[in-house]
Amino acid sequence: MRALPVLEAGHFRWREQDGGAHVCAAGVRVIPENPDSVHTTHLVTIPVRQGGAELLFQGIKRHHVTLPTRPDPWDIRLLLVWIKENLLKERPELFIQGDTVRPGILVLVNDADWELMGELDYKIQDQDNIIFISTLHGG
Amino acid sequence: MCEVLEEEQLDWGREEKSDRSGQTCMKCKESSAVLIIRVGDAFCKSCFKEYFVHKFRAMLGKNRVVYPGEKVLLAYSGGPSSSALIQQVQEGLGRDAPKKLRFVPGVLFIDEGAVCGQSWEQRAQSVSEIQRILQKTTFPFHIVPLEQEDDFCFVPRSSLYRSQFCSRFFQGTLAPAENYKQAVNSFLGQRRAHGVEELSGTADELAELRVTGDECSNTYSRPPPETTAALTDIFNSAKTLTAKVELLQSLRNHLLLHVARTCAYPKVMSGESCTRLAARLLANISLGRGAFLALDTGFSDDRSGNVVIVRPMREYSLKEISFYNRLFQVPSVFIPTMETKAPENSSLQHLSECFITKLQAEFPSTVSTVYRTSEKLNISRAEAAAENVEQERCLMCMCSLDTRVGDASAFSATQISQNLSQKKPKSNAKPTGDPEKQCCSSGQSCDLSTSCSGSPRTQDFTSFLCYSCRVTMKDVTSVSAFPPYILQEAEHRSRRLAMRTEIQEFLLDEGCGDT
Repeated sequence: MRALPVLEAGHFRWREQDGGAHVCAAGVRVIPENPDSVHTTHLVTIPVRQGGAELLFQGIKRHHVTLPTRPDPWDIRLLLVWIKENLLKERPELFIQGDTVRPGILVLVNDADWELMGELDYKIQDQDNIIFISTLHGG
Repeated sequence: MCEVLEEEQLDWGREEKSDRSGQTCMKCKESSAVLIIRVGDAFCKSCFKEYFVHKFRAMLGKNRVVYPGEKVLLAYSGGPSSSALIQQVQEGLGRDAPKKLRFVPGVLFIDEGAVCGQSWEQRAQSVSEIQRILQKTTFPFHIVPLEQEDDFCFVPRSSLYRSQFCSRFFQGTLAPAENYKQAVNSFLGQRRAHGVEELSGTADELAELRVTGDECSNTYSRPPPETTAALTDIFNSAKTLTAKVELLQSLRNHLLLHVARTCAYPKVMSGESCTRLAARLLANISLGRGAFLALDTGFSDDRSGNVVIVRPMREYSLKEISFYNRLFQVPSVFIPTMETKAPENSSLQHLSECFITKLQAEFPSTVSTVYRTSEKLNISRAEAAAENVEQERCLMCMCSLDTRVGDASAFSATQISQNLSQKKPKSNAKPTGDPEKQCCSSGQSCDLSTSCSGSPRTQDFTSFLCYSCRVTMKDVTSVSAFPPYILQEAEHRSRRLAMRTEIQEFLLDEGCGDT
């Protein structure tokens, strides 16, 4: 795992990769609790959503995000909470139920089944590609 | 004691789960696994592909319904399953494998955007995306708007009949295939006998029915706004999402069969996965379609007689399909449906889907158990025997009517209690309410001659529907906006019925004991 070049400490952004439209980079600044923490200072995850799940994310299929620094490593459980707070624009219950994803939504970590990676406990690595695919009818 | 056992099992399950990371493929035992199918089978990418491709061919090989050289229409919705279906057919045709597929495919996409309230621009955009994908397949394709059906004055009342026309062309496929080889030989022999001109003659004949020839080429023009409005009227008049979904399914099926008939495709492949079918099984039971489960969820569906719908994807779970599409870059188009973003209990169909997926998340063999049950279902023998006899079929779903049953049946009981409970508010409920209404709705052929020969009303209509479609239609108010071919057929039938009652005394009674 390579340490990520620090872009702007605690500044995270997401943008649309396909269309190039810059959706939001402003406003949300998370001051890292401990910038010198040994734990992964910056993590980049790219959640892509297919099969209609993107509708809950302003219709954006690909989010490139830099997760804020935190003292302990990010896992999917935390990522879901973060997504719910930061990316989900409407009807979070259609994506997250309880502390996990809604049944019928598949999670792929770097193109592999998350069931193979420890599901919610998977520790997110730098440059990970996390995909959510809805298998429900109508997304 | 039991509790202890359960706890032990749970622990064991948890251990296994945490053990999974870094697991190798259960098949080749070399590469690292990328997904888990079924309960604990981990596959690597290449073994998964092999497994997936093999399953498709095995499914077609095992069931032996598609003959070599036969034209097969692939029903494409843009979604993951039908995209995977097209991809599999493409691969099966292109490969020099011994189990090479040998049929001639064509693709049909039905644009349902109007029903889901999409603007023309949105629909045009999805259609152009679909076109882009289909052009790459090199298969001939048809893109038809659902409204087309409204336009179908010329149409197919025939699509509501079993094997009425084009029988010459389709005969070969109708022969009872006890022995696949024999059936194939007779099919091929017949084709040879008819010769090429004969076939093209039939095709011309069919083309006379105006299957808008330009759809076969790849243009797609905007349907006239009136027809779109008519279609949306029907759907807006439906009070519940459940009814809308059912209605859409029926209309879509009519159009599918119509295109298959006019373009001479004796087989239609549709891409339902076992996850979908399991949900449909539960939904259909709750919708009162229990009698037709075998047709609605089975491998082959021959209710329409000369066009057989097969479901070659029914062994795949949606998880497998989604992974396949992702790992092997199978493009699919997301088109919102009526159920998009709908809450869980918005419709019966949606609710049963949520129920199945939720259960599946905790008990990974849910879907396969339900699905295996559907596999064992069959049409009862008595019905199958009566199959050849002219039988009345539901106007909407084309299943043989399940409403012609004796007085001492659950159906009649439901009717009676319904009539009784509706008696009071009836006077102000509907202006069309007249004394005949009740007697017609009891489902038995009664004196229709006076009441039902006029303009189409909900009432005429319902007596030609199966139980489930009656329930659906109850929620749909503007029946007069229905596609003309359905109304015409309803009128036609009611006239025949009237005539029949008129001449009843002169007929030799063939067991119409219930009249």
